[in-house]
Amino acid sequence: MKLFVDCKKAGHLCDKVQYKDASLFEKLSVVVHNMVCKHCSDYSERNLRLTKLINDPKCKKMPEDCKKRIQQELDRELAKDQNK
Amino acid sequence: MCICKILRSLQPIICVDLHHVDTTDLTIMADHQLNPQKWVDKYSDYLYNYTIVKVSDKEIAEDIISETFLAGLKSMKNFKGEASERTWLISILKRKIIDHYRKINSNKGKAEVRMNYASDEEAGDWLEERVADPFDRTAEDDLENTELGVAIYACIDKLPEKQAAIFRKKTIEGQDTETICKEFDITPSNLWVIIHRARTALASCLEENWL
Repeated sequence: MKLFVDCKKAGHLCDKVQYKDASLFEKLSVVVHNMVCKHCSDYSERNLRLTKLINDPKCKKMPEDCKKRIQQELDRELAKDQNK
Repeated sequence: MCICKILRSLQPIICVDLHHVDTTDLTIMADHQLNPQKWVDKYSDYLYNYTIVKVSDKEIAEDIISETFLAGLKSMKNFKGEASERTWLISILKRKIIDHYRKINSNKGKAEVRMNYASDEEAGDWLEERVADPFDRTAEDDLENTELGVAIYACIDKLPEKQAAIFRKKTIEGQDTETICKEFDITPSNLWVIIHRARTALASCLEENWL
């Protein structure tokens, strides 16, 4: 594993950081790369803002049990239609 | 939020007179298709964000969305493919939200909103018959500019289908990489490439108003 990575790799590592999937070494690689690359540094900032937006409480998510219930209702209705 | 304000903003959509629409305009794009098996996966969060702002109650929002999907199934034969599946579902949802407020108002003896047919000859089951595709684009776009959740899910919906599905599972549902890779039969590297593309597209989509 290399500490100095190219822009493509740095971009993917930056994405992994957003999902807390990056190791400490990978995080360090991103930091080092961003110190010398303005483009990737901007991408990281934008990526972080995107993560904050997605995690904003104003962006709501339908509860999973409700999704399941509705899916079951739909499946039942679709099965009825097919049996007609 | 003021109920009257919501109803006032939605009413013009319902009062469109179909006789005044130039049908030649409607033949331009008729390539959208309905796929009800995927409605919950693709649109439930989007519709949920849309509805919760209007009704301010989680359970009511869930019921309205459930009713919307069922009404969508019932009126599938009326879908002409002129608007996207999502826009069409939103047009049903708006009517369901109005129905909800009408019910509340009529319970209080204050019903003020009337849904008129263009003519008496057309009178009947207004919702299932009148879920026309092309009239709600502007209203929907306006809302995308004002509500974060709606804007995000609208942007996700613009991604290619597989990309959107993987992004949803990873980002919204928080599934782990391994599970998603198994489900879609892809390698972790592929997954991160897809996520990268999705995030870049999403950032561009949200750039103007949110980033």
